[in-house]
Amino acid sequence: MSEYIIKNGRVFDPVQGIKGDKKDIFVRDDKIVDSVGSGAKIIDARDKTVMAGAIEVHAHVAGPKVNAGRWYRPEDKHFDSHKTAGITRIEGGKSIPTVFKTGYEYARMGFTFAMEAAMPPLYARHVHEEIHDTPIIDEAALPVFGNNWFILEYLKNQEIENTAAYIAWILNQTKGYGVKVVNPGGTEAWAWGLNCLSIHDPVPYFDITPAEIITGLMAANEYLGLPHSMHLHQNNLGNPGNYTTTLESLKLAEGVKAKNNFGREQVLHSTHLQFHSYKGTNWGDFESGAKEVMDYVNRQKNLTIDTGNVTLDETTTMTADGPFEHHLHGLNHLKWFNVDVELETAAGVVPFIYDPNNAVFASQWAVGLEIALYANDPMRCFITTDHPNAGPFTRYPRVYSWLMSKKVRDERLNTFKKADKVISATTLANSTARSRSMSWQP
Amino acid sequence: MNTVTLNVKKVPELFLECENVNTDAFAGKKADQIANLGAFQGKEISTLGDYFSISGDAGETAAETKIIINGDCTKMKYLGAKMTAGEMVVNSACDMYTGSWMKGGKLTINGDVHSFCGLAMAGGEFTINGNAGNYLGAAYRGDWRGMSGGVLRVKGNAGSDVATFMIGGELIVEGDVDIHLGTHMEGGKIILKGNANRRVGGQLVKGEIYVFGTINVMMPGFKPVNTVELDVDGTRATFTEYIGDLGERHPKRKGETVYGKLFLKQ
Amino acid sequence: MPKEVTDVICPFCGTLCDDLIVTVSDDNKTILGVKNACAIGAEKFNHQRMPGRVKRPRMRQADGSYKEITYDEAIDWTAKMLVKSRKTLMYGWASTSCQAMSIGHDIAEKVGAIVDNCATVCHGSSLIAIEDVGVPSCTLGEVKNRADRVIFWGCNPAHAHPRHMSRYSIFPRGFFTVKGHKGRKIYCVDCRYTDTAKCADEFIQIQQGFDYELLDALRTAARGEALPDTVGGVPKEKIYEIAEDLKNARFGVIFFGMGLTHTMGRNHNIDIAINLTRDLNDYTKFAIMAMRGHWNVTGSGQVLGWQYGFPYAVDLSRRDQARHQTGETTSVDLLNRNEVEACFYIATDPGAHFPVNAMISSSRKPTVTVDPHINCTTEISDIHIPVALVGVEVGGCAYRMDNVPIETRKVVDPPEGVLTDEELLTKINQRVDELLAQGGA
Ligand code: SF4
Ligand SMILES: [Zn+2]
Repeated sequence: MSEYIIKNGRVFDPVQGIKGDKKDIFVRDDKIVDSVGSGAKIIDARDKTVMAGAIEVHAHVAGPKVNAGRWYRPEDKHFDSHKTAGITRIEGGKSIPTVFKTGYEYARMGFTFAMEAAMPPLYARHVHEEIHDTPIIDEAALPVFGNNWFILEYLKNQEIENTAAYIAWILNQTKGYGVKVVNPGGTEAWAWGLNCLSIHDPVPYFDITPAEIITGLMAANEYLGLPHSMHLHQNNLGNPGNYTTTLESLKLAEGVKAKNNFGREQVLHSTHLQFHSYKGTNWGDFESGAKEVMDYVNRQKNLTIDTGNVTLDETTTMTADGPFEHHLHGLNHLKWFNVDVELETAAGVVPFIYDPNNAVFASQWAVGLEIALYANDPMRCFITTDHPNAGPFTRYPRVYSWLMSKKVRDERLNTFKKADKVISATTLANSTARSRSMSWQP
Repeated sequence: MNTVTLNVKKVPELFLECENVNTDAFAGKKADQIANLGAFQGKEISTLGDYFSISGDAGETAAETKIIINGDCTKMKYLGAKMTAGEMVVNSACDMYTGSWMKGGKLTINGDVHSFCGLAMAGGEFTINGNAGNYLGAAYRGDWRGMSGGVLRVKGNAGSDVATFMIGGELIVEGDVDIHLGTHMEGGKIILKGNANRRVGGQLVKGEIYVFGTINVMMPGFKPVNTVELDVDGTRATFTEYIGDLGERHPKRKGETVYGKLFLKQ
Repeated sequence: MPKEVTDVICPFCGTLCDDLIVTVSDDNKTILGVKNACAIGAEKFNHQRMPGRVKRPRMRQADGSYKEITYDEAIDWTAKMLVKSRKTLMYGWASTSCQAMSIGHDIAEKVGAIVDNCATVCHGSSLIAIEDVGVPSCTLGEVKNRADRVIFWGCNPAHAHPRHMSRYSIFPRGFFTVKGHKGRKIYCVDCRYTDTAKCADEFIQIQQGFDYELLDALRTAARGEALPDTVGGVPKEKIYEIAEDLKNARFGVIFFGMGLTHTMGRNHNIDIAINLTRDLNDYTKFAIMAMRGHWNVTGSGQVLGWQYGFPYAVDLSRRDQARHQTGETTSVDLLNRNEVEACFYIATDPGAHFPVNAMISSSRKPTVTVDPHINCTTEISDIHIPVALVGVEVGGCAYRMDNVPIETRKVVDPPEGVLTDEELLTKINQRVDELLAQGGA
């Protein structure tokens, strides 16, 4: 039996409405209890925040494409490799930290867990080797299913049970945690250099559409009653006008019910929604679609989302959305890494500089904040940077301060070179401080 | 301007990493404080005082500081690296990374330098009164931002990979260069007074290369378009103007494609 | 009764064939036969039962002869050497498991060493090229299932990766390539007519040292720009024809080897080949892949990648930062410039691959070599520590040339009392900790 007391800290617990009260927390054998014996170890938390460990729901922290991003960007570590005193290992990497830095930096910010958002089954062992070497925090990984040949075949024939059985086998073989879907059908099309930009584009050869893949995988996920819902990176990421694709994809969840006995209600998690909430027809008349998308999400209780906040840094984009990375490389001409994985998926990596002086990038910054600010139910909205796609996770403190303080947010907004453009393309300038009454109750 | 003089009193056995020998590191320090700055040979940490006898105090700022180094510096790396202002003269050959990531000021090496010198230089004046090794004024590994500003002049010859990924500034080699001059260049100006071995301007996107001597084999992606008379680095001459590398992508400005240019003296 | 072990992973080349069948004596001690492997792969298994295998560490005497010492003595000597040296080269790693590498890196970080793998004399230039311009690539299964244009440029898998052509690149029938070889057009670009060229539909003989120019010409032709009459000995009509044919591929792939990595211009030959591949993706789907040779050299790059962010030549000598610069922190440069004070070689034979001058420099320094067998390097070492054969006598993770991780299999027991790499490195690590706690050697 191990017991300890976390003494004198300021305790926060949104679920119980505890907001920074000075309290002592008693722990016995990894559980919070009412009291402990006199021999308990005392941890002095004076002037410190005591809260539940934060959870990263979607980040790219371990695996083949993350590591490609690491080693093919030596310049990302240049003059940024260091070691702190004590028993730590050398840390390096600004946008794609090494496993050591990943563990330490999350821990320093109060995180205890991170979900690797895309694991190609063929490379699962690599993902786990990195998880093994990542200090302090726990990690799990979501295998990708949205372009898997077996899944496409089963779903074409509407065999939900076989789909579920195959998912169960893959989860067991790869020690995966849930069902990730990236650009359904589009990444398989990419194996021939093509893409599926709408959810009705047929997937070459397989005779199925992204809409059918999404619907089928949602059903299979609920057939199995997995801890997490299907986790979706929608088609048509990052393009002006894509909010209609987003709404169409989200509507596929209407009427779908979660099947489990532990209280999960959502059946679809829509990830890095910022990248999927654009209006307009090109980057010239680009506008935020955050309001339209979030109005829908607020009404539809079986959805959860994460934001994908742009932090305006030089970073490294990486996703299993192979065709998108190729498209991005065509825009910025920076070094392009791609790997197509037989039968399963693909991945691309491209360095990216979100220059705050560029109206588009500054607007993306605003859209990400809008997504979170429009969310009525914070329990269904997770803050992410889709690390490292919209920015490195080490920028969370900044993102939080932009969200928590209208003053900080407006200061940033007004110092953009193209502030007028950003203000006219988005509604962020009219946003109120995050003080409006929100139900913190789940 | 205050002058600090360093005389080498001990030649390092293996090599010495001298990232603390530049005007910025010295600024605001007295001679004895400078002697206490770190110098590194693998995991062995010593001080500049172990290797140099140091006289004179530095100025308040880098701009008010001049450093003169005498003695054998052939095994010393990073001399003058990252300096932003002031002046530095080394009366010896130097090892790798001399004057790399330099942002301003004046750096003069009276001797040869090894590879990776003037790497990603962004500003200032860097003169090498000797020969230079490979990767002069190039980018650090993986970076697409090589030399971006300032003037880098080599009185002697330079090695291969000179000005790889150069994006700005001016680099002059008065002697010859080996293979791969201005590879992946996207801006700036290279002037070669002597001859080039081969592969000049491979994958050139933008920027200008002037060659007074000969090029052993031209890249196939270069096409002659013009004959021009130009004043280049104080010499007037007639050049054949080429555009290229036609195998590479090129940006468009106002609907017109912008090519890299190679001027070869006739 | 001899038994058969199936699905055995070949521990020799970067193809990491995973379909070998090995027959083992019933006492688990001797390999009796190997099926499915090519000649060089089978040889690796046959080595296991070779007589005269060294089973205990050996230390060189003043007269040049070797005397047997205990593992503990060897471990103590090695740890003291590492702790004392101001900068140590820890080179090799290609024939060991990723788990062993990880322990090695921990030691290197503590003692201030450079960790380098045999990419340094092999596909290091490919890695630099990828650092500079990225790489559009794929897994080998994609090639098997989709590729209808395959180019072998400066590589000779018929000799270096014997089963590559039959498993992935020329002959197999895949999901979208039901006609096998008939459905693929195979090009071979080389300066000599190799055995791989014999399997190709088209052999392009290139003048030595003109790969960069020919690749530039192909890119120029693909953009429809003008060309000189011949480039590298190839007439321009041929260049236009090839460029057009590649654009018309459904799925194309370029495999390249030492013909690009080790000829004039090195990394630039590869970065321009990568950029040609990139250009072709504007028309169709194209990929490019390095023919990584030495078994798990890819894995070493991966582990170094996730721990320090660089694929090879990782300089940890300052102990508080990791650095990487080909030409400075690469083994041959370190040896030639005499920047290191001691050498630790494991799971690779630099004596057989490094330039003579580098090995002469190495032979003057305290040296420890960890290898199952006697090789060129053990003979210039102060200490030779024998270990179990990874992939034969002990398992562990290894990475195929397309970065796919594969858990290898143990098929027989190592000789009595012989340590594995992991066990040995763990003991050295512990001894280093003790010495450091005592304040040095
Ligand atoms: S091709 Fe390579 S991996 Fe396959 S059996 Fe031969 S040596 Fe072994
Ligand atoms: Zn993501």
